[in-house]
Amino acid sequence: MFRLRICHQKQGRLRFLSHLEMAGALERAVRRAGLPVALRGKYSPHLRLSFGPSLPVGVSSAHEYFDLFLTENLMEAEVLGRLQPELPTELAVLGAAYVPNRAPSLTELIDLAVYEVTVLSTAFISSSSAMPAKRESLRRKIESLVSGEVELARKGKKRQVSLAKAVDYWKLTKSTTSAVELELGLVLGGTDNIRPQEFVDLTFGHPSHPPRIHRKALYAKLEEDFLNPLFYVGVQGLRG
Amino acid sequence: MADNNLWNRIEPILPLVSRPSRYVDHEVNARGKKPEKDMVKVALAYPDLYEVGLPNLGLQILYEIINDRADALCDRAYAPAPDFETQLREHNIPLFSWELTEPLARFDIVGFTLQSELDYTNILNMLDLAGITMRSEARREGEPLVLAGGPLAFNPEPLASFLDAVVLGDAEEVICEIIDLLQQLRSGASRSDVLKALAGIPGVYVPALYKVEYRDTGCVTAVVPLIPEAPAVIEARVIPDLDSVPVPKRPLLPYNRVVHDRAVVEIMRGCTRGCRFCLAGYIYRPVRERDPGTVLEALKVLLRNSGFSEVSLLSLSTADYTALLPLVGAIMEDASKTGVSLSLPSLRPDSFSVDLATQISRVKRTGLTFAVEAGSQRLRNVINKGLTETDFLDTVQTALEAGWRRFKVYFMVGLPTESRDDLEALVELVKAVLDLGGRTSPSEQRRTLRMVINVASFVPKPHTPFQWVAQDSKEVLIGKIAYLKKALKGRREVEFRWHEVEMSLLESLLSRGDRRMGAVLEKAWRQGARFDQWSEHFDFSRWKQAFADEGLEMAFYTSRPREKEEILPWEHLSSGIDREFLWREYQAALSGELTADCRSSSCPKCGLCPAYKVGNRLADKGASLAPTPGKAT
Repeated sequence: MFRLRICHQKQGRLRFLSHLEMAGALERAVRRAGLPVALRGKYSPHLRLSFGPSLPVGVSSAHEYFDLFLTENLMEAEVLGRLQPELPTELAVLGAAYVPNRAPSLTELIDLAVYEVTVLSTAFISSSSAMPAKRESLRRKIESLVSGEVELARKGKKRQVSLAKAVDYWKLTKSTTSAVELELGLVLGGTDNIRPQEFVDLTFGHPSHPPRIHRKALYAKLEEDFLNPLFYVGVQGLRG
Repeated sequence: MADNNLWNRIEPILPLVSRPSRYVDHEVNARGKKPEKDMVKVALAYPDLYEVGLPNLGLQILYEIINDRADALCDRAYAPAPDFETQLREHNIPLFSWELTEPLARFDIVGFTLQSELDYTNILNMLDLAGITMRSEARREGEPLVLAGGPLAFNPEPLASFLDAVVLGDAEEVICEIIDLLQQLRSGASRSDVLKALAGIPGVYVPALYKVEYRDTGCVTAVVPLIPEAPAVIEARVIPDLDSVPVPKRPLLPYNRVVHDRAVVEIMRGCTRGCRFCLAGYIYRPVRERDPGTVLEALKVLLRNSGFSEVSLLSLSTADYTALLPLVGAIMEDASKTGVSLSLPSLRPDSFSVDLATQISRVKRTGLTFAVEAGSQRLRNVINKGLTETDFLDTVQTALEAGWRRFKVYFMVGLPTESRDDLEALVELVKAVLDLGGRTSPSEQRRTLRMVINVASFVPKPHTPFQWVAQDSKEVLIGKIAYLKKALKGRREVEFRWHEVEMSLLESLLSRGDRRMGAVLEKAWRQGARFDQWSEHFDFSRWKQAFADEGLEMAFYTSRPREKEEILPWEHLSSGIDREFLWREYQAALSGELTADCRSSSCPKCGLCPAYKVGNRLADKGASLAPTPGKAT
């Protein structure tokens, strides 16, 4: 068996697909491409594909990954060449690399996601909060948030989350009266994590219209380096 | 054409609604055809949610046929979910077509498919959201032609005031004739010229060209054509040979979870079993089977173009398809290599079907479904479902021995001549099945049998032998269901489900309604009626109020037995079947006589074949499975 890691995007109007819907579309494209994929399951076999951390509805992405388990060792370029015509450009495949079978799964490997979040002033029209007036006050607010702990409610349960641990870094890339743009490096997995939507709600006080969220990249963090999952696969001390 | 594109106004509201993938289109195999000068623009609209409407095979067939023409374009529309509707109204966005995101009001034709009476209010709602004038007579020049087709087109009278034209029967040829007509009449033709010309196409009914006269009792006395071009009776269109129409090669692939997520080929149209309650069995005659080689080839192409992992053979009664065994054998052989599974809907409750189901499903977790419909032999004979108790129990035995443990059985209450004895027999039949389950269990499977008993209220349908029948009153139906529920209560293995009786009443009102019901429909819609098939939106009191406001009585339509001589509101629309035949079948029902299946036995003289010069066309039982050269694929 041969494990091929494929990078793809999720753009345009297809950002409104849920994770399951996108996974289904990719699986069908793989079938249409006639690729020799391993089957999993004894009674109702389905194709062996393994996905990375899920992307919520409405969030676009420049780089997402899935692992495809093939029964033949095809050239990466051939697989991409056969898959590309079966996909709409919004879900285009961008690259691929073979990964050792015993490497950690994508969800185990990937622990950092970089997001670009845009909040428009028009998002506050029917909300109780308002667009922050000055760049400096916004910067100070975020600085103070990120240094401490917050209480987040998920699925009815409340949890204390340390933002110092959950937020790897942040940058205020744009701040005008009409729009605020943030770049956020958020930790995935572990005990302390925060979603970009939650971060926006904490910072801006629940604007009525959801912010535009775009996932720029996913990384495996090794000490201070951000490593691309196509090249760093996380296998420590390989034994011969 | 940039003005027409509403996407920039739609996109901002998508994050605010649930399941926005319903509205984004860009599905694989969506044509996204761009409109060019002189193209006839058609929007096919399914009056229910995207998840229900997208897989509909009829619309997919017409979608391909129209888009394959150089001089026409086909786009699609579905009913917006209530939260999306709120946003559309709030932001003044007219209802649009999915691919071009252009207002429906800018299309030449908007065509609805009539699949369920409970969808009717959605049709009105979609017209309103689109900004199309609701009443046909008030529509202005330049507004689209609002058309309808599908099984319920055989009694479209409740919608008559809102529809410009209705297509009866198989639509594959008629839709092309309608587009040809529009191309010819392009410039200078007024709306009324177009309607008059449409009436000249066989199978097309233009309600505005007829006047309905009523007696003071409320019964129809006559349906009178207002101009010579309008025929007194509109005959349905029947395609004699199914192999002459193409199988859709490029199915629309939703991202969303839709109700049927599989590659579907229609293997057969029509059914000759003659179950007396079934509308489809009468309006889709005669039986026309597709050549099995064509089916196999079509499946291969479909799988290649879709990537579905499941395949299904569609028809009204798949187990009757002549070449079924060789076809299934061939499909299973291919399928085992590619991990594709086969599903067969609508099997008969007999051992043949069980053997087949066992062959195709390696896992029997999904369960077997049987439509037994009536509990006693006598009542089954009344509806012409000749199934004997012995046969049914043998079937269940075969299933149990093969390892099946889950069964779903459909029944109806309120069938004509039903008495307490019949209900008791239903309970006894269920118990007999449970007893069998207790006795027959392969030693390694001591799991208990699980049965889902699904009970619906019988609704008399037009164009069937039961079109004259009085439906049981609401109280009686509720009482019958309660009786069954109580009688089956003690058994853990049984899950009892039933359809809401008031929904069945609404279905009954609309299925045998006349034109006066149009006003009721509009009133109910104005009071907020939409998605009546969802219990969270269904509110029968709206309908009761609307009836009262219009001075009409529900019982007149539902529980009044019709006289033989009475002119029924749909008689000017013909399915090709003799009225006399339907009446004879009704009488036969009352005396519990069976009528044989005309596919395998003598002709019961329903009149259709000589009238339309067609006949049953069966596939070759010993067909070899190479595709026949020269046939459409």
